[in-house]
Amino acid sequence: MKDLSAHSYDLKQAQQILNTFFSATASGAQEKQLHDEAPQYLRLSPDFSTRMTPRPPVVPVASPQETVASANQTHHQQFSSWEECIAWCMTMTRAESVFVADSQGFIIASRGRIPGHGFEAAGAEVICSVEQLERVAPDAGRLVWLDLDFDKYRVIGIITPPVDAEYYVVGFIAPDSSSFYSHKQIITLNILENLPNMD
Amino acid sequence: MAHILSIVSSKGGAGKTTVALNLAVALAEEGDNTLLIDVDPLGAIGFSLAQSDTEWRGLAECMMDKLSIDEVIMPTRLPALSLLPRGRLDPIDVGIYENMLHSSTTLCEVIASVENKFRYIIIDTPSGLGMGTRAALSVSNFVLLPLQAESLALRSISQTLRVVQHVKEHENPKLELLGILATMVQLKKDVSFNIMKTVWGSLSGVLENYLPRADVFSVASEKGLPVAFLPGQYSPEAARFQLLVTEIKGIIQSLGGTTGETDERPQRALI
Repeated sequence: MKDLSAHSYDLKQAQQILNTFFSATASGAQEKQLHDEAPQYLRLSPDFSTRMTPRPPVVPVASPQETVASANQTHHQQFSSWEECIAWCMTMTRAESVFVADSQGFIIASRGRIPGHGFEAAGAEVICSVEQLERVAPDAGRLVWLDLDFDKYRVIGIITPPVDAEYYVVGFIAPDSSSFYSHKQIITLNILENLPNMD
Repeated sequence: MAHILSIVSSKGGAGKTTVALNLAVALAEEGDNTLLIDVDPLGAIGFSLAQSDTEWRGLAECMMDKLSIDEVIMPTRLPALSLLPRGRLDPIDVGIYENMLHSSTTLCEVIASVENKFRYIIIDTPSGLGMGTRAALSVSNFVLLPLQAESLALRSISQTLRVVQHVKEHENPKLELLGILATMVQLKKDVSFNIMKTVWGSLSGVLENYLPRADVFSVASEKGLPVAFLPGQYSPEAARFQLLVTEIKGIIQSLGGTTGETDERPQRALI
């Protein structure tokens, strides 16, 4: 039976180059052959650079020290309303939108790219899901964060501790992953600290 | 004057860092003062030694004039081995780092300031043939090409050789190819065996020593150690690096380099 396997190990050029390094095995004819059979690579001309559109200016990114400094500055925020809180949350996570649902599933604040149908359905479903999800691991304690990875975007929610059986879910739609992870603890801390002040 | 040896491969995962680290250790264990430089912007040497991304200051700080070269060269518990880590480079700035490495004189200055202190300087390069690799080649005397015993690596060897040849012809005439070091060889497996058969049959400059695929490398990586530093019986893989050192020194001598070994011995009495 014919062997249909395709090795495609075209080592002729490799060996020709090796001959230039290991002169003991190289011959004049082989060196000539190397130059005669120049590989069909495309060389980029420096002239081409004049035709290229300049790249947009690089957005300066804070160094780790600066990030730490700014993290310290953002450590203690004071919010008097959910609107203020989610505006800050959006900045920290670069989320497309942020919403707050109360324990009845009503949207009490939202900001960012709000879909035509609003967040009402999402809020209600998240609230319904919290109780269900806590049954996944009954001895694991209270559900604090939800992280749902859909194939189009990601939905994340923090569930505040209940006060008189009332709690809130702050939902983040399509946050930037690295921004979210680097600020997750600060966001948690600030939401929980400001919870008594927000209406 | 140090022998400056870059470990280069266009393909990722070929074993460059493993070779660089364990070769540097093997040289140092023979008593040769050796400096291992991590030019790879990923800082693979640091990771191989189980250090976090921001643990060590190094080349990046030197490049930004934040620290002097003497401040970033780290001694190790192996007296003859020192490390020059990558530094606390922000991964976002890898592109800038590689461009600076290639266009600035930092690497040249680093080498010039330390080459009298070391007999061997081993440079671990990033995967690919970009600016970091070119910068390393432009300051090296020798280049060693790890070739993973797999099809993709063999198909791309010409690319690596072409860049090495180009650097020698246009940027660094003193650059010599030490050879091709087959890595992750599994002669009991058909594919690996066929690759090695092709390599041995079609290419010159393939080193006699090769590195097998072995669990000991994974164990060493997990523990953040060179293979020679693992506890227990000295592994055959660690011994292979000693053989590799002998072979490499022989090639360097045959290429006109000196390895500092005069082989002069005093007269001794047998009885």
